[in-house]
Amino acid sequence: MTSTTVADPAEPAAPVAPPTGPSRLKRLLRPNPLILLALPFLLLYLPRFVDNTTLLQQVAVGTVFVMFAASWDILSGYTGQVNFGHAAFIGTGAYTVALLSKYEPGVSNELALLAAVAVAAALGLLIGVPCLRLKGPYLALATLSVAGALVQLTFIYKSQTGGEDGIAGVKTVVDGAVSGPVGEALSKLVLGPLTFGALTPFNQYIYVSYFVTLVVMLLMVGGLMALGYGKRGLVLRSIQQDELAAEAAGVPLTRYKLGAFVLSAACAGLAGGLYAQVQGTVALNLLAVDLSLLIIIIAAFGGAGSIIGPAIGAYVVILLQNYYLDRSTDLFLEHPELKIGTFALLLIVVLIVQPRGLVPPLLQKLSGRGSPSRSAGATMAESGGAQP
Amino acid sequence: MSALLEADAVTRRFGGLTAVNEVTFSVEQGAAVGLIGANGAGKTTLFNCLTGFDKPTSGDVRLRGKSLLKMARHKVVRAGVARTFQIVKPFPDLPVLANVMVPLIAGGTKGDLKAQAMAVLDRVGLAARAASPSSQLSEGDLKRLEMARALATKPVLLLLDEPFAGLSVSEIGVLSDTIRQLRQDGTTLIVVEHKIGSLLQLVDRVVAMDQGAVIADGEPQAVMRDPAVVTAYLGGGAHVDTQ
Repeated sequence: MTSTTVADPAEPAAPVAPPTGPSRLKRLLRPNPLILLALPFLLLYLPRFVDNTTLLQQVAVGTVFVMFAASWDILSGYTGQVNFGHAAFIGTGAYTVALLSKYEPGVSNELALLAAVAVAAALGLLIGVPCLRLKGPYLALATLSVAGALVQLTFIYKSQTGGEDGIAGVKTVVDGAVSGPVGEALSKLVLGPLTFGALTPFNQYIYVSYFVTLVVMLLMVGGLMALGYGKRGLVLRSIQQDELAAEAAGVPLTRYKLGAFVLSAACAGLAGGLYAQVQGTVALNLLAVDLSLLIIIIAAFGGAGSIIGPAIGAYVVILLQNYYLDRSTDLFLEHPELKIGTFALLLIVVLIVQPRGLVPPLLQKLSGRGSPSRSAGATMAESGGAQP
Repeated sequence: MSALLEADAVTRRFGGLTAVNEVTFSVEQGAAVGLIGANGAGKTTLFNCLTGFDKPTSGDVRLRGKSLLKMARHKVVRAGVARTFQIVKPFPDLPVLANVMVPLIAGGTKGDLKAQAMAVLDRVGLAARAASPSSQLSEGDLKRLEMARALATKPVLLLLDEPFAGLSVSEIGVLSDTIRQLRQDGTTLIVVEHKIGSLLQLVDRVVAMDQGAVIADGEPQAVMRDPAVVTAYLGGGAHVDTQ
């Protein structure tokens, strides 16, 4: 980064304004790369220190939700087109994989995932075009109803989709020509080959799926962050801020908005398809409104428009919900619908205290970027995010 | 020199209202044209038609002989026509520098974007505020940012929509110097402005509109003395002090 070139205005005598009180400015700062590198390593080596397979299973579910939330964020957090039916893309990916596994068992897991990406992306394009003209509550209703229509579709084609029962017996990650060996190799690397060999097949499967979801998630989130904190991310943000002004700045609005829609759908389709291969089953909950709402809650909780915020938010919310709440109180076991209400309340509290979500402010503190002594030039170099 | 921009019988109707009626004029390369008229005269509608933000009901708008009407808004910008907004439209959560980088990225600019964005900010005298969030700028600085963002699209023709509205006298003076500098750099200008006195010091031609039609077009002082213009602005029997 060349803070020297940017801190070189033609009037060197002009007082450079300190970046005072830039709460909004700070949101744009890139998270400290050291923290960003520490997180994947922590997740990679977690199974070495935690031998509670139930917890590891829930972390893997959290990893999948990271992909759900991050893929939502690149559309809704960045361009401001808030999608209330993200489950439509997730469910499409999951059902694509499940139906392929059921009717075309010869298709490899990896090819099935590619198909999930393609079908979800096509759906994203199909929905994205009419949604270009919609804003706010109208867009929310349109996206919400698409997911609702897909639920009905599974009932109409009940003999194929299983209706309420869903589809069981989906080929799992261990059957994958690439995912199986990669998951196994990472398991052996982290646990040691002897320890891994001594595990029961079910526990081996837990470790393999843990690592496969982790690898796909890291690639996806890494890619989305590179996009979001780069030039194109800046353009996406400008669209969120003011569409007319973005057009006046020469931004091809349709291309960017539709591109974000399709990318978001494709990533969600991949995550949904992978989830089907991890669980071995798909069911209607992957298309449900609950899932779409939970993703929005996660994203807002973690900090929408930052990718990393929803990603970390997903782990926090999923582990809280699936691991602790389910085990700590009978109330939530008997009334699972109370969980989303609890999280909605928690979210309201978080947003009152910290409207930007929890993660971006936290990362800034950790990165030491709150200090006003940093020069404007240095701040600038980090803020624009578009070094070619 | 041939005309850079031509408006050819531009008409824009909103239902029964004809906001712009058969307006024909052309702007030469390097010119600075003021567009004046009372409220409701059709200036802003014409302005929007010239910049691709509105489509004329009939007529044509051409840049170097090429019609702009079929182009998407960003293509009009790419063709070299940039605009500012009367009510400023910054990207408030983005730093000033990033505001100017957006048009550079959208235009496919190569090289060091930050340095180029700083150079644009320097042209409008906003370099010192590069790192500030644009939500913290004063009204005068926001007008500069508006101009910087338009300049970053590298326009051949820049249309300014009431750049002086809401500014203090001293802010107007500074901004006028900036605009004059743009002109010296070779940018062709069309300026819509109500503050006639300030406008006349910037432009070498004035087009006056009333009720959607052009009522006078020519040398600033001549236009301001034109009886039709005086009547349109102040009613009969008055004169306009252009100083």
